[in-house]
Amino acid sequence: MFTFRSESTDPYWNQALEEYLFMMPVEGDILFLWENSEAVVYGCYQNPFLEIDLPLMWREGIPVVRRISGGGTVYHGPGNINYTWLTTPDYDGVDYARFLTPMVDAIRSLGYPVEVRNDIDIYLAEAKISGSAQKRKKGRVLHHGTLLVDCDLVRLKRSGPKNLERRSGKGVKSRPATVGNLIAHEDGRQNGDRAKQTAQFKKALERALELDQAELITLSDDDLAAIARLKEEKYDTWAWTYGDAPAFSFKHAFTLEEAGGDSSTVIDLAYDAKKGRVVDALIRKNGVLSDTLSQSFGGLRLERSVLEAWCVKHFGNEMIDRLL
Amino acid sequence: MKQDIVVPKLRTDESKAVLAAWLKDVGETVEAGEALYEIETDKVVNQIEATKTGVLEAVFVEEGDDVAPGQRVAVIESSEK
Repeated sequence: MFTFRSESTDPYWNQALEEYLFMMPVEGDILFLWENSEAVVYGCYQNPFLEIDLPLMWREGIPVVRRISGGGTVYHGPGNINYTWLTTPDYDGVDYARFLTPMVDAIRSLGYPVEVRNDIDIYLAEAKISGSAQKRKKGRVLHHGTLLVDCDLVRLKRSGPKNLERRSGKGVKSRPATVGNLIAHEDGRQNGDRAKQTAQFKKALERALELDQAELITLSDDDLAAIARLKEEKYDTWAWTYGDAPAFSFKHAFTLEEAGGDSSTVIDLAYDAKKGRVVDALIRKNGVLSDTLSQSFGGLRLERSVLEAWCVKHFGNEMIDRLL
Repeated sequence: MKQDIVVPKLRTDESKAVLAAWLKDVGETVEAGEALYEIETDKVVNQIEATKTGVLEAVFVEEGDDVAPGQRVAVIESSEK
């Protein structure tokens, strides 16, 4: 068994690290624990425009990260630990138990009576504390999962999509679940020493998984440069994050109040988007089709700066949460 | 010689899969061992490789479509036997 110590909490860098280690020729398994600063991480073939409150994430500068494995959208941040298990499988098909059984045994040995449910998730009582997903490529398997140790569940929940009635489209859907922390608080709030408790749990879990006895992988300067390139050229790009997004349709009507509140305009916005760009748009002002607005919106890249510029030009403000 | 590309067996009989992405375009040459498409089932993205070298002649499902084990999703015109 090999392990790695990731000191970085940069969500884009950690995705690049994971993919780099995944394709690194190693005789044996690699298992390591790592943490991200606050981020929303979605499954490779999901539709971020349907799964995430993008206007909120963009406004607050919270990274939105597309990973290479399947499954649904997860929240990363303080109090959540991630684990990655890389192996060259001696089996065909899909096997979650190979990874989840030892993980559950290790957590149980620390005094938390967790169990596997739905073959893929880990639960403590009635709350899901861990979800996992996999990628299989060139004879290698990447299995990874989250572990909610002492996470801010309010922030976790608010990253989910709002106003879903406006949008419909293709893409792998997340499966909503009641989530909870391993370390529960009676009043439901964190008690101020989240970082300490999470660090203590992480160290204890590493010992329970015998990672303190595993061989430590040291990355060369060339390895680190390759990971930095992978971050820069893939994970931290609009093209990877939004440019492959499945098709979706959007429809929303809203009222714009004129300055002074003397009059208002009803805007009917309908558009189809694919691969992160508006394909066709029909925009009506007070029921009358506006060729100017429709044509200027068509072809736009669904990106914060582009949408804000369009809003400012045509409506005088940055109301992008009405456009998504 | 034409070779049908069929969806491999999944984890359980109940498992559903989505053909997530074609990694080659119709008309493109595919080398044996090269990644041809990805399917997602049970939160696993599985990259499927071509077993023979040839030209991807046609695909029968679009990205995002549900597929079942054994379903014919593409055909490769291969010079290999």
